Amino acid sequence: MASYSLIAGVKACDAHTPKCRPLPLVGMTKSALEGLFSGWLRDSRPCRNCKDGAALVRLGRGRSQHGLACAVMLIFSLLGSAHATSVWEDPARELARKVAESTGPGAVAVEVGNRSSLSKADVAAVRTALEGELAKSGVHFADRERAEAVVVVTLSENVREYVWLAEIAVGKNERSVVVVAVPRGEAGVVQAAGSGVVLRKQLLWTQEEAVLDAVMLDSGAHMAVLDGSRVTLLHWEKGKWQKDQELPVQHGRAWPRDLRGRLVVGKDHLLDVYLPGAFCQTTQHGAMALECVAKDEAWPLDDGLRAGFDAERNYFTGAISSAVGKITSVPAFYSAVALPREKYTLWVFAGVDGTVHAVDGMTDQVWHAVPWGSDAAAVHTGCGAGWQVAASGKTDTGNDELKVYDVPDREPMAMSAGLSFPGRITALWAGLESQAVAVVHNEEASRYEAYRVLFTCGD
Amino acid sequence: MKRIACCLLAAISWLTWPAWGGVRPRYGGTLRVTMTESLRSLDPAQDGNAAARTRVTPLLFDTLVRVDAEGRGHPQLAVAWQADRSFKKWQFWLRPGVRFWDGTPLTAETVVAGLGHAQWKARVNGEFVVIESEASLPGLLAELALARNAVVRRGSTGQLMGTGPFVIKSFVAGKLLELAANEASWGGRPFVDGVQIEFGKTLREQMVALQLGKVDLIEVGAEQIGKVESEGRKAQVSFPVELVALVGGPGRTKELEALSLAVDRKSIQSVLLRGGSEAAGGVLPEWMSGTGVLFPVQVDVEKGRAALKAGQAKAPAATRALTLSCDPGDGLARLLAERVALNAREVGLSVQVVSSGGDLHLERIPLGSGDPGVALEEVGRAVGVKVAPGLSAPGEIYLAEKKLMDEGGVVPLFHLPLAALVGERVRGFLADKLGGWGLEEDWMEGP
Repeated sequence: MASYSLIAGVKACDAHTPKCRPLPLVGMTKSALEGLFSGWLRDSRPCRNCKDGAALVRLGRGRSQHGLACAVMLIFSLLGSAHATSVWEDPARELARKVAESTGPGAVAVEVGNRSSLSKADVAAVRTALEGELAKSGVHFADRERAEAVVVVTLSENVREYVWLAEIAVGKNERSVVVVAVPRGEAGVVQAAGSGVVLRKQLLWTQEEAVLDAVMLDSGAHMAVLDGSRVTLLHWEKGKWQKDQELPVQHGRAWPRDLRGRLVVGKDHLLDVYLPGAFCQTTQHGAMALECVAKDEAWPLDDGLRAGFDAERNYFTGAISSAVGKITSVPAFYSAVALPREKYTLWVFAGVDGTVHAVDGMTDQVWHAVPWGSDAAAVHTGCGAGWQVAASGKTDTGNDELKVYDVPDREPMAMSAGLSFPGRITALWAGLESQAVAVVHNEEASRYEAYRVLFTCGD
Repeated sequence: MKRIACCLLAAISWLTWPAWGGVRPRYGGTLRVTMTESLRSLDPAQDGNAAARTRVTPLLFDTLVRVDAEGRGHPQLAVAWQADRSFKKWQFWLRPGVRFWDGTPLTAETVVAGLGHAQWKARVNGEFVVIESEASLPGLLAELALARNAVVRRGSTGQLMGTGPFVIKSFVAGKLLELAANEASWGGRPFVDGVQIEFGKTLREQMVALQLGKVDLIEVGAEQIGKVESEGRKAQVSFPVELVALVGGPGRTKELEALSLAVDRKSIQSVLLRGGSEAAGGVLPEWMSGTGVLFPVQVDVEKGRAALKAGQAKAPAATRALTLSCDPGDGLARLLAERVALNAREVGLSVQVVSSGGDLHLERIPLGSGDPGVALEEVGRAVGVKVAPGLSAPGEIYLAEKKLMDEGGVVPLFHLPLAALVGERVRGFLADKLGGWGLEEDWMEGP
């Protein structure tokens, strides 16, 4: 049992476990251990990226820390084992009760097989819990030859839940079957980072309806999230975002299919909301509200420039509020990025026709084979020319990624590894200088996820 | 140091540009599609042509909700819903501002008029739709998501009106359907201007047409998936959503048991279906039920012979010779039937393949839903066995599955996925896990 526990504690996130299983601390030991090993416990508890177990193993290799590391591993393993057992106790009790109703007390042979994605450690924990519960019902265990009944338990699953089956043969009677459904647990959130210019993503918010934009307010104490139906105001409390208020977006006609929208912090009010053919502002006469009008208000781009957005499509028309140097109009585009230079601003437009236009005030240069997608945002990393383009692209797995490109001499050059996302990037807007907000449609989870992406110049 | 590192990285990265990607959908173009089945009617209430109907109906008509393979409900014409604790009374809030193609607003009355069902009653309560039943209906959302429960307005001359993303431009029954983008679609105008669907094309004809660039989207048979992928093309494959089974009706329990034990599913799966399927011992596929282990698929000749013998001891008149029919236009079904007949000899059963009217029929039965209870009901409808509504617990499902097999004389053989292949110009195509095509989300690259 001791050796099993050790394995369970360290390997909870090994290759056999398809989804990282959190290892919450349990019982009275939790607070005491958190106090003693707060740093390590904080790192390992959420089990975010499957490296925590490995980190513990590495700790064990340090000579001076060897004894302490072993103690930590043992404690973790015991906690992991206790957790695993406790998670499966209720369904094991239910299955044991149903089995015991068929077998009655006496000698029973129990065989447990696994056809599900449960790890070996979890299967062992289920078996332990099941045997414990059966023993409480007066069952004692025997091999097939001496048993009065044979119970073959199969741990199976479907897309919704785990399904535990027990085929029961008592004497020569026809076998009976009992089935118990066990809800699946939640998966952890995986983070990733690039290199060179380092990209990091933080999940801000997730919901079923498409998120169009999200902005941080009050230095991150509050957040506003825009979708096609509402602006949701939230505040950060107890380690998560809590809803304050939902402000409905009133609009008269159907939105375009690939709906886009933008939130901008107002000067004398909280928010401006830009949507295709509609413009909204927050008002505060007592309670806060959102007042919307059907209006083709030009959307703000970088550097004070504004551009018209097609009310029935998913792109900017190409009409801009003021000339960029001598250039007064540009082709229809999906996104625009301003890269400040010493004496001018270089504008980069991701065109609807798949080309990228670099406009420096004198010329409109077309870049043909630029490998980025439709969404781009300006970011200030301090690397290279200072300001760079963060642009969407596709990974080998079919998901989208963000990559940073420098434009030192009018030719974009990649200067970061790709930061991959769990789906297609549906919105990308520049935030503060070294941040952007990316929204991803996670097909697997059927949800939209808004991320804050942080860009820093690596060493 | 930072600058050097960045420049070095930039130089390296320049050599490894990724493929085009991350682009937003573009508007315009016509999507050309071919299908095997010959859809003769666009009315969602009609039966038959299930695979084609699954794909065509959502282009024209909406249901109150959509339910994905994991059983999660998603808003369609209903934006919200609520059930009481017993799941006997449901209330649906309709999406505001939805209009049929002719501009008529969607109302609760129109929705209720089309929702006829033996198990429940739908009624209007102000702006809401209320559905009530004497039985508990935990799987009602999955039932409402079936194509036959799509909301249709029938004009005075019988013409069909929908609220879907496309409108009918022209329809030649069984041959050609031309659709145009619905500019006023509540979900937004589709990206393509139109869709042209040709029916009744063999899988081979479809593949040739795709290779010649004459179509943009084709169906791929389960037996073709391996070959297509070995050629470096990526087929979009659903979960197994179609049951291939022998259906013999009641009264032949022992013969069917013997036949089930004789059929070498694994070998047929490997050789004829080239891996593009799952051997089936039960009606529902493993991904849906999780109880597949309770329906073994191993060949057991001795047990099969014993079953046949036991059957004859009970009913001496029982025959050792059976006829087996299949759809004469379905080449794969014919091959499968011949292999079944060959395997049957091993247990002493003579099975002759005939073109129609056999004792047994080899059928392809679409499961219709990712909800196991509703899928069982659909199979029950196909084989003429009533399955109790509202089943959801795996234990209940298992018992109902067994009962359906016994009462319907159903011998499950395989579960097949639906697969599709798109041409190079198509972007955004994503067949869902249940085999549906969301063509309104597709768009065309290039001129």
